[in-house]
Amino acid sequence: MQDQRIIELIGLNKHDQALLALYKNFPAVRKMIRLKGGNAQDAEDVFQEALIILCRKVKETEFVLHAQLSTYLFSVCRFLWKDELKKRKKQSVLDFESGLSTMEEQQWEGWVEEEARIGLAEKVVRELGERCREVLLLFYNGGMKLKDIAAKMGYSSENTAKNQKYKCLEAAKNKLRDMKQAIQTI
Amino acid sequence: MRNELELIATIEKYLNNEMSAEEKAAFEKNMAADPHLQEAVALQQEVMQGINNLHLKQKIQLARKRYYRHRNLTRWGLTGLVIIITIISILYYLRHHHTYKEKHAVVELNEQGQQQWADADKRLIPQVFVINAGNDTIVETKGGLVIQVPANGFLDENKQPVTGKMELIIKEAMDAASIMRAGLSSTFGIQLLESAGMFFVDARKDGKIISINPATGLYIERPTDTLLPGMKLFKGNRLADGRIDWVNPKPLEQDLTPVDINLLNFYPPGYLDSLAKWGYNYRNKKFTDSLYYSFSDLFLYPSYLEEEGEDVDNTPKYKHTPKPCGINPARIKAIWSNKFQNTLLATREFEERLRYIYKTDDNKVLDLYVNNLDKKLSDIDSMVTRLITGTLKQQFLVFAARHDGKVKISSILTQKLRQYYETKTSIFMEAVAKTNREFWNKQMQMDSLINERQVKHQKESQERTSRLFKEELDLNLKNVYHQLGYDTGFTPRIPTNKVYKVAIRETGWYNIDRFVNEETATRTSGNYTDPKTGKTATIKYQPVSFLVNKQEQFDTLFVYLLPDKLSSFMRLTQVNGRYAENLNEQIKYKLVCIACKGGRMFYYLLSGIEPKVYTEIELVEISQNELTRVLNREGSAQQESDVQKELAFFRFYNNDVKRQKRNAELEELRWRMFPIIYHCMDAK
Repeated sequence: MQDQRIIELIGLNKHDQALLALYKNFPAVRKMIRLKGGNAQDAEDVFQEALIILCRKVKETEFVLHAQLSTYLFSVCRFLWKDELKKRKKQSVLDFESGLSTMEEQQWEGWVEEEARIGLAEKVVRELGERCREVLLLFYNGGMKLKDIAAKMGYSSENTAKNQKYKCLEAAKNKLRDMKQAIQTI
Repeated sequence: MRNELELIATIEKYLNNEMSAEEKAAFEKNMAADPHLQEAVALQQEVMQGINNLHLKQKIQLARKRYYRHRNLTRWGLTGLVIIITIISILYYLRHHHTYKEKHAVVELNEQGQQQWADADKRLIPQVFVINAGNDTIVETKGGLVIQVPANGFLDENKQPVTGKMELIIKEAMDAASIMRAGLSSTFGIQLLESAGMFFVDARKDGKIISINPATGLYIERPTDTLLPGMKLFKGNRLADGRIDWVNPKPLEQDLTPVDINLLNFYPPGYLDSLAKWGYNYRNKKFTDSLYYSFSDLFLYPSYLEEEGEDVDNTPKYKHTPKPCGINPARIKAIWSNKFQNTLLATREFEERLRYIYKTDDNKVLDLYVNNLDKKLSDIDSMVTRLITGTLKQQFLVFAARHDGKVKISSILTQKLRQYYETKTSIFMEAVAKTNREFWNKQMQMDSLINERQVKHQKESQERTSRLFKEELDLNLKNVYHQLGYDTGFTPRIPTNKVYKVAIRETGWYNIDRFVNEETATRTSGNYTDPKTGKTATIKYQPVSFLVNKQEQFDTLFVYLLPDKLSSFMRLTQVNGRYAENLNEQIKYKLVCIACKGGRMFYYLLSGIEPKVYTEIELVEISQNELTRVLNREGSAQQESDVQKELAFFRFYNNDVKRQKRNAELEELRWRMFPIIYHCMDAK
């Protein structure tokens, strides 16, 4: 699939096809990570995180594609894996030539940091009650109509559904604020 | 709707860019003035990003599943455990070169120059790769086969290497659907097979048949996510009815990929886990290495074990049979080095075997792998099965069945590494034993040194205390005599046991002596009335105590009182954070506090101590020389040298306590680790 088409699909929230196309790059990433001391699971983790980062970035309006998407993906993976090795304090991290320019590294670093921040919010949403989580996911990503959501979740009216959504958002916001405060006090 | 929910709805409208221009401007103005609103907006935005991420992750999982489904193996039948990979090579091709590429899947003659074609030949669309025969080339097919064509990999009819442009023609059926569409079946005689894909390889040069150079061969990889044991390569045999029968199965070779040997774990199973469990830094390879390799001296001197079996303080926490069994750590040290990079040993496959090699307790098994670096891993596995029995043998049979290949290596290097292994193992053992011996000898010397100094210090302290006691007693005696109106011009004698017996006959003196002696010993106030004269004498002691600020921050803290009338000092003992003592009314005292913290000295000095509670004593830093000067100025020469002596001893002692503790821990750790290194021993 053409890169431009993939970007279009992601922009339209049609992730399924785009992701499947991007997944074709997985073997190369896995090979790289195996050579650099990781196993298949590491490769999966790194690759999936890179996909998330890439998808979000692609959606941002200021995103300009300077190279092939696969190159981007591969280089984010390299960066993530180097980062991970550093965390595991393997001695060989010094020898790990990421093959990235300093500018690229800095860019990836910024992206990865942002990802960690959003990761916290994601954790909060993930740990909400099952119903809340489902409502939020349906509202914000399913592209479903309000009426259908109400029917699917068994709410008596569209208004109840809407109210429920706001209540869940409120719960998530409060939890996130508490967590951030807790982190700060630590 | 509640106000809070209204707010959330508004923020959402803002974030989703659903506000009119006026609304937006008003909202942003509000926001600029209200930090709470700012925070609420930021939080909500993050939550929405979080929802997005979660959604994306679900989608990624889905994509992952679909991706694997596409690539996964097709499993047919129950009995077969076989990959069918067909290499049907080399064809003769006559005239219809162009048609080959296009619609027709087959040309007139097949790779053997015959006219027989199977159904599959006709139905599968060929993929044609034009390559340069003189170069190393790698091609990847649509189905994911990776084919490595070495330079000069093909021969023409005269057995001469083909040069220039040539065509490589591949047909493949990698999943169930295409296998069935092609009308292929997966049978071996009457047996069903389980297929990981089938392919056909043909090569032509200018329409002429060319054959694979048997000296180089083609190297074909079929990437897969799950390796099934026992997969084999079958050759396809076209049958008259258009089917293909699969014959002549051969085990697949899996060339091994070396990884950085330093990233592998060659320690015995449970070694790092145990260290982690016991709270040691298992990531510090310097530490884990030195601990592990230190065990190798027992292979040189097995008698050490007998000695060590008896614990030092006669409480045998650990008891081990006096026989080293297990893999010699020195051998592991020899191979776990950069010398063995890019060999069979630097592979995940060997790492896996090593875990079981440890279980065999047989160094010969390890030797087999190290001494056969040029062989296939599976061949060595087979050799191992001849050495061992039982369930472990089963395990190595399983290894052998994987048909793991080799890492290419020259025979000269193999020879060299073999020698390296032999010599280094014994050198390491000697070195470790020597280092261990020297270390513990040194520790023993230090142990006796600290003993000596401790005894000396105790003796000195006793001398000092008794001297102080005598001096204070004299003082008190003179005082009491004076109060009772006796002559104080002579030096009062000191009561000893002997004199005491004699003194019973001299009532007056006896009583007084006892009184003074008692008060001095316990340092409490007392009254005494002389029965002869009726006069009363008083000795007065009054309590004083000191509280030092943040005393827990110091490694050591000493609080001294320097009495002006006595030659030495009194060291105060600490009770509940307070240093307390009783002051003799007749003596003037100075307070000196001295503390150490990581080699730095701190002090505090106060003269004219009165009987009261001193708090907020704040020590300040001082150099060693300055401290000596201060002590010289404030106390007598005797006091100064006594204090210095004592300080020197405690500095030395505190350091040594650390050393002793470290040694005890080390000893303890070695004992705990024994069963993991030599696991045939029983730990008690």
